[in-house]
Amino acid sequence: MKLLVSSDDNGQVKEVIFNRGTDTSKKDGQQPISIKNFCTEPKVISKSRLINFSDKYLVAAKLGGSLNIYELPDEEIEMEDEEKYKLLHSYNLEVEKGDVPIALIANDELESIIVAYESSKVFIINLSNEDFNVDPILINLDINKPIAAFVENPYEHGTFAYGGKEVDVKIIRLFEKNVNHEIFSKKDYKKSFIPKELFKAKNAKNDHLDLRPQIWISQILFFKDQPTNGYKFITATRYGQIRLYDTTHGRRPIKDFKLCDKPIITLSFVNENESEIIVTDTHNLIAKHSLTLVDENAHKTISASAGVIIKPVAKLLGKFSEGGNTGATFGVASNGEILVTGGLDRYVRVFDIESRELLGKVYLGVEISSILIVDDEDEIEEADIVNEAPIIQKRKRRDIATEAKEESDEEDLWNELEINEKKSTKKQKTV
Amino acid sequence: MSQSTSEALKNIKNKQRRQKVFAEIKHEKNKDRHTKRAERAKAERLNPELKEERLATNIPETIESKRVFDETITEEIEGVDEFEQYFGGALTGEDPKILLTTSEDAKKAAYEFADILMEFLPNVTFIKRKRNYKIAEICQFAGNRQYNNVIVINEDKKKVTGMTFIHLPIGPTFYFSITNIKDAKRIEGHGNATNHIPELILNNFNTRLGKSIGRLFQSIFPKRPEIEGRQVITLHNQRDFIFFRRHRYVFRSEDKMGLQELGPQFTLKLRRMQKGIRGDTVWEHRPDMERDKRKFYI
Amino acid sequence: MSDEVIWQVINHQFCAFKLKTDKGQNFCRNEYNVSGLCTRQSCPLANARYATVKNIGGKLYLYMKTAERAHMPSRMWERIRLSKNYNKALGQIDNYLQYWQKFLIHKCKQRLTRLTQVAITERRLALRDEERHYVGVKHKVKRREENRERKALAAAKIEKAIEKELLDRLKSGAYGDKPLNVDENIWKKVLGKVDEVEQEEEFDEEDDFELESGDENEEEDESDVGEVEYVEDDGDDDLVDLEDLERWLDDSSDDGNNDDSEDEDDDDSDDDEESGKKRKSTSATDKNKKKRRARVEIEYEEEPDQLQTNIAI
Repeated sequence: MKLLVSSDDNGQVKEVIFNRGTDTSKKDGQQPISIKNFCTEPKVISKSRLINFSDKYLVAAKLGGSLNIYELPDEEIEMEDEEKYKLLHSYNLEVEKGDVPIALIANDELESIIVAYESSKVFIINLSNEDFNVDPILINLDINKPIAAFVENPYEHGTFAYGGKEVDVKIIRLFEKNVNHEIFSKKDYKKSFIPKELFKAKNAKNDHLDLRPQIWISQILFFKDQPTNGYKFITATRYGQIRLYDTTHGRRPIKDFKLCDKPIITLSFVNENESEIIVTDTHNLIAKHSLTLVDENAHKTISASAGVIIKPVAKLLGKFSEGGNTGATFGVASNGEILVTGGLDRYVRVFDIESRELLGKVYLGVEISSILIVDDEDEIEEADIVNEAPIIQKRKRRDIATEAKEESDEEDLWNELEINEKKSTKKQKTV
Repeated sequence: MSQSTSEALKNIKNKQRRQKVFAEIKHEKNKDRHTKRAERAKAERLNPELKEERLATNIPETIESKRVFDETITEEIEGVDEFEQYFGGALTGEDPKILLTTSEDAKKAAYEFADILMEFLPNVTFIKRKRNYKIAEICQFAGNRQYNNVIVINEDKKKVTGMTFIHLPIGPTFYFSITNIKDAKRIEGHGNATNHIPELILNNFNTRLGKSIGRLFQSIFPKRPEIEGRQVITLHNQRDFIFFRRHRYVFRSEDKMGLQELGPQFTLKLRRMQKGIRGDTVWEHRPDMERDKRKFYI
Repeated sequence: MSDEVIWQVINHQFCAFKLKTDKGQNFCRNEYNVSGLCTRQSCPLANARYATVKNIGGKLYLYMKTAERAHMPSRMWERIRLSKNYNKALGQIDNYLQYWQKFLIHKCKQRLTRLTQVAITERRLALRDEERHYVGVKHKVKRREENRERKALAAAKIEKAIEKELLDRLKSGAYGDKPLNVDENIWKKVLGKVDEVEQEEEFDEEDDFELESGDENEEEDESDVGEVEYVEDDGDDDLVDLEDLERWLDDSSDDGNNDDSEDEDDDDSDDDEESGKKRKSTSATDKNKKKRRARVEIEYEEEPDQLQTNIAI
C-alpha cells in the first residue's frame, strides 16, 4: 500500500510504499518497498496537515500560515522521483507565527480548500484556477478563544462546526447552499462568506459536586443520518469524554461518556453505518468503542460525600495495542478495512479494523501528524516480469475524506471492473 | 548431573547414604574440573595463541548480545529536534543555565539531594518551591530569563523518587525515577571534587529515544570542560538503567589509567518523555514493557 | 412487630449492622442511621418514626419514615430534596420535622452540616490542579526492577567503560595539542603512537623508517610483517591509489621542505592532502592542524561534540 505521511521533524512529506506483513522491528522481517522524502520546499518544521484535493493536488498546511499545493502524480504515468510532487503554489496566510492549522478541508463543489487555524481564523482558498490567483478569503469566527476543532458537515453544503477550550460546539453556516465555485467569478464574492450561527451547544449538567464540567472540544464528527431540521453529531474532549448531540433533542448532549482519563485527540468512525468509533489519546491508547452497546457500570467515581457513582460507558470493543505504541497518536486514517496510525513514536502502523491485528509496521524516524492513504492494495511482485517495463496494477483509489460517500457505489463498480479484467486475462491465457 | 548418576542415586533408599554418595560424585566432578582448568591454563601460558583462540570462539551470551533488534539504533536522526536551538546556536553561545527546584511541600531529603546536585551542576540556581506557582509558570519564568533547563526534584514520603528535566524554551520534558542515591561521604575512598567543569561521558545511548536523552544531558553541562581538573561525569546506560558516576582520572601510562570516585552515585530510569512542557507523551514506561527482559528502549 | 421487640433482638441477640467494640460503645453500619451509633434512639430499624439526611449523587435528601407506612417496605421512606443553600436546608428540616423528637431534629441538622462540609472539602480538592499523578507500583514490579538494576550495574563494568572512553579520547587527540590533563612524558608516548598509526595508514617510505626506528612500541606481528606488507602493497595497489600517491608526492615536493621524517613535515602534507587517504578519525586531523601552530591557545572549535559524547549527533 502507499501512504503519504507528513513528517514534522523536517517539514517534508514522506511517501511510504509497503506490503502487508512489513515489520521493520524484526531483524529479518519484511522491509518496506520504498520510503522517499518529497515536498522539501518550503522548509517549515512543524505539525502539518495533508489533504488530497480531488486527486489533483496534494495540499499541506503548516505552522504559521504556510500553505502549499503540490502536484499529485498520476498513478498511470511513470515518473522520475524528482518530478513527483512538484510545488505548484505556496500561499502565505496572514496568521501569527506560531499558529497551528487545526483543519484542512477540501470542498469539491466550491472547488476550494478551507483551512482553519487555532486562532479561530478560517481561510477559503479557491483552486479551480490553474494559476492560483484567487485571493484567499479570511473569515474570523469572532471568538477570542483558540479553537481546537473545525469540521465541515459533509451532509449539508456550507455548514461547519467548531469548538475548543472553553468554546462549546457551535454550528455555523459559512455560505449558502446554492453557492458553488462559480461565485469566485463574481466581483463581490467575498460578501457571500459571512458566518451565521445555527446552533450553540449547552454544557452538560453539573457533576455530583455541583461543579461545572470543563469544556475542551478536540474533535467533532457529523453522523450520516441527519434529522430533517437539525444536526446529529459526536464530539470528543480533552477530558476523555465523548458526547453525542442531537439538536432536535435540545442543546445539551443526549449522551455523555467518559472513555478515558487522558485527553482524546482524534476520533473517527469505523464503518459505514457509523456504529463504532476509534479514539486515540495523548498517551498510547488507540481504542475501538461501540456507540450502540453500552457498558452500564464501567465508570466508577468514588466520592466522600456522595458515595460511589456509577456511570455507563460506550462499550470498549478492544484496543489496538499490537506493535507496542508508546506515544501520542495524531495521524489516523482508515478506509473501513484498515486503520493507519502514526504519532510521536515515529512509526506508521497498519491494523485490520475488524480483528485489530497488526498488518504492518514501518519506522519512519520522524514525528507524524497527518496520514493520507493513497492506495490500500499491496504492490504486486514485479521481480518475475523480465525485460518489460513494470506493469502498474490498476488500483482502487480512494480518498477517505472526499469520497467516503460514494465509496459503496464505487466499490461495486470496481468489483465489476475487476471481474472483467480477470475474464480478459483468462481469455488471454487460453489463447 | 548425568543420567546414570541420578539413576544410581535413585536406587539408594537410605537418605544419608545417598547424600554421601552424591557428595562424593560432586567432589569428583569438581576435582576433575579444577585439574582440567589447571592443564588448560598451563597450556595457554606456554602458547598464548590458544588462549586467544579460546576467547575468540567461546564468547558467552549476554543479555546485551541477545538484545531484541531495534531498527532505530542504525537509523540516522532525521530533521531537527527541540535541542537544536541550544546546539545550533553555535559554540559561541553561553554556558547553560539551570534552575533547580523541588516538588511541592518538599522535605529534608529533597533539599539534601539538591545540595548534592548543586555540587556538580554548573551555573545552577536553586529556588524553594512555592505552592502557588505551577511548573508551567516556573518554566515560563525561567524561559524569559534565558534558563536552558529546569530540574524538579520529586520527593515522596521523605525520599527522593524522581527528577523532571524540562528543556527550555519549548521542551521536551523527561521524567526519571531515581534509585540508589549514594552521597560522596558514603563511598569508600572517595576523593574531593574541585570546582572545574567536568568532562561528560555518555555511554550506550543508542536508540532514537536514547539519542534524545543524550542530547538532554549534553545540554545540561557546558560545552567547554576544564580538562585540567581531570574530572569526568559519566552517564552510563545499561539495560535502560542510567548510572551516574563522577571520577577523577589520571593517565598512568599510554594505556593505563587510574580512577578515583568523587561521588555521588545514583541511578536514573526513564519513566516518561513528553513533547513541549509536559505536553503530549512521546514515550511512557509501562511495567508490561519489561516482560521481555531483552527488549530495551534506550 | 413493635419497636421494643426489635430493639430487644438487636440489642441482646444479633444485628447484622452492629459493629461491636470493646470500649462499650457499639456502632451501626446501616446507611440510614443518622448518628452512626448503635443506640435505642438512633436505630433506624427499631424506630417506626425515624428521619435522616442522605447524599444521593451529590444531592441532599431528608429521609423520613413513619409507622403508617411500616407495612410497605417499598414505600417506607419519604424523601424530600433539600435546598443547596445550607440555611434554607436547615429551615426545611425544621419545617418537615416540626413535631418530631428533638433528638432526631438535632441529629439530622448535625448530619446535614457534616455532609455539606465534606462536599465543600471535596470540591476544593477537585478544583486544585494536582500536578503530580501517582502511579501504583506493584511489589513484584518493584522487586524485579531492583534486581534488574543490580544485575545491570554488574554487567555495565562502568569503570572499565570510562577508562576505555577516556583513553580513546586521549589517543584520538580530542584533548587538543597540549592537553592539561596528561603527564608530559605519557603524552609524548601517545603522540608517538598516534603518528605511527597515521603513518602506517599512509604507505610511505618515511613510514618504514619510522616503523623501524620506533620499534620499542610493541606491535607484535606488524614489525615483522611490515616489510612483506610493503612489497605486496606496491604490487597490489590499485591505480587510483597510485594516482593519489603521486599527487601526494607532488604536493609534498611543492611544499619544499624535504626534511627527513620530521613530524611537522608529515603533518603539513596531511593537511594538504585532504581528500586523499582514509583517516582513522577526523579528530586526528584536528590535532594535526593544531600541532603546526605550536604555542597557540587551545582551540575547541570542533572538539566539544567529541569530548562530550560518543553518541552520534
